Amino acid sequence: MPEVSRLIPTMADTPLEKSLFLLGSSHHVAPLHVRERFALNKDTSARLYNQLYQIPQVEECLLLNTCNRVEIYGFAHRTKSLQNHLLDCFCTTNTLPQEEFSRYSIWKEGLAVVKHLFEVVSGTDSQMVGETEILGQVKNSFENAQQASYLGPVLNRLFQKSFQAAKWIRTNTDIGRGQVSLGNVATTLALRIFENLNECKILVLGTGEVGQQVVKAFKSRGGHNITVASRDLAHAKKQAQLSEGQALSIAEVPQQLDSFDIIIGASGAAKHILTQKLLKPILNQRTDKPLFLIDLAVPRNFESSIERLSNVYLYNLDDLAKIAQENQKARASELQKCQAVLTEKAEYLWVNLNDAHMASSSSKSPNQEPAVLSPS
Amino acid sequence: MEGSFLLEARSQLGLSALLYLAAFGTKLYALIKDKNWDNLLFRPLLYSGFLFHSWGLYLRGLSTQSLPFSNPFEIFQVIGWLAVVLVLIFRAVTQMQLLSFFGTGLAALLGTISLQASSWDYAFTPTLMNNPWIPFHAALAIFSYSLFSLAALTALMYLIQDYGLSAKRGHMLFSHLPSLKQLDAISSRFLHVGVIILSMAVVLGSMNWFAAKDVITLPKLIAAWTIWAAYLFLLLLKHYKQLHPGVFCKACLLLFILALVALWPLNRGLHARGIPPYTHHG
Repeated sequence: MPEVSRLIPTMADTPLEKSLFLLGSSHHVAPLHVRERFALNKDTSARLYNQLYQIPQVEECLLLNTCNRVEIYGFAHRTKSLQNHLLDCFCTTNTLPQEEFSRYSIWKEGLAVVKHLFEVVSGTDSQMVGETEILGQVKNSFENAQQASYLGPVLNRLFQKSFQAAKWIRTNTDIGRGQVSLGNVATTLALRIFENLNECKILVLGTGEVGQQVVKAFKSRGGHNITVASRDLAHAKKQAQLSEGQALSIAEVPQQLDSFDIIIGASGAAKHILTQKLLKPILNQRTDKPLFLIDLAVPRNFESSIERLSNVYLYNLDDLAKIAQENQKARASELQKCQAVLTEKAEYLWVNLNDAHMASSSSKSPNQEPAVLSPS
Repeated sequence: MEGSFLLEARSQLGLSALLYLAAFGTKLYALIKDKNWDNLLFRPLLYSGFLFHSWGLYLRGLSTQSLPFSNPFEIFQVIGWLAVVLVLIFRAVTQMQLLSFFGTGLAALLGTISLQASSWDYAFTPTLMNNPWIPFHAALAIFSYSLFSLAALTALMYLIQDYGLSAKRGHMLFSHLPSLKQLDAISSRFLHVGVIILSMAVVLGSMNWFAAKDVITLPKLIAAWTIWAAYLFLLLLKHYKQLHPGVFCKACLLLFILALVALWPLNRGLHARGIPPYTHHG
């Protein structure tokens, strides 16, 4: 790898007109109760993509929407108004006050975007440092944007390189060793409550990927009595088949709540599915049985006041990450090593991108219309 | 000769308390600092503490020519010793983590308290042991107390684990503790067996009350029945699932403390009759 530090163009001295940009919010700048208001659903994602494409400066864009981050990556002509345009787009689509989003968001340009993406994809920027779920989530977002023709040569190359960098980090460093996935943390906590998971009845609300990953972790530790609940019973049945469990409609959940020991909230529901009012009479019937609630959804599926009930242990994404971080002190030096390697790789790619694309003409054809975005 | 044995017994028991304390401190430091070297020190300290404890009680019995539980000092020492025996057996059978750590803490605490309170160590009345049912009653009662001490220990472990889960802490201490369900089940079982043994002790004590009214005073009898009734009530509430496990564990701890405090009025009658403390023998 050549020495690149002297070759790197900065925002101040570059004569180029176009650059990479990033506008977003994540667990680093926004607490969970704020993040859940920023979260995009299928419809708002599609509308935001369409609006972004209407901004004349934006040539390519990609939306990354996970439990812990909402980020807009793009390649655009640099103008002073670009950031405001993007802010306006995001807040209009998601009906948010601009001041609030500005307060809890970050803006990056150029090389900083490359570095940031590399860290995100390799899991070093994750709430649970070293987790691998993020790679799959970014790949999904990438495929969706690619199918809908929102990507061009710059973001295409940028993301492909970020996947390679993530693979390098995973293979050559110890950042992913130990308890770093949501599933591992959740099962470890469950084992602190229940002696073994064989006797536990587990209910999963929603059929999303994150919930299923946690179910997999529970199954690997002996939890086999699994029920999947969804608004769409057919969906639930399909997922239950994969988990070798039973299916339930969300509407039936309140009647059967008392029989479950562990409930995982991973539904995309906009309102709370479990409330203190709903749980209180059920808990009175099961005085000596603890209840473990894991809320992986953003917006949250479980009312936060539930944790005040006795014999109930409620954990949300931030809580699980906090537990994981307590076990991550040993990986601090490994993280520094990863960040140094990723910075080197990002700088190298930035030089190449500058040479190949930054000064070139627009890759966005005036007649090109994006395809309808498939649901993620 | 008797005096030198007594002095030697006290110093052996003092040394055992120090060794238990050192074992507890070593393990606690290792847990806080997340180190794995603790077993190299913890186990030798625990076993040597137990050896000195046993030797001290043997010398004590030798000097008094009786079972060493005739005053609060000896009762505290025997409860501590029995607790360590039960912990060692239970730990070997169930592989339950951190039980021996908490066991050393309890033994150190009981040992230190009893050694500090010099007025507790008074001479017993020889007539006490003339009736063989009386020492048998006392042995059963003390054994039940040691079972209650383990119920209280496991209850304490439950409350610590519960705190860790409620406060969302993932520290090594919490991950080494057994699960809530296991701790709840074990403290219930200790309580169950303890209540059965204490019931037998109370029945025996009551049957002999008329024959030994000078030894078993009415306040002592009432205190013994009250403690037994409280433990029985707690057991019934637990059996019929009328208590949250957290409340049950707090009750277990509180009752054990009350039972220990009650040992003082239970045995006060003897001391009040002017029998001098052993520690004043010189």
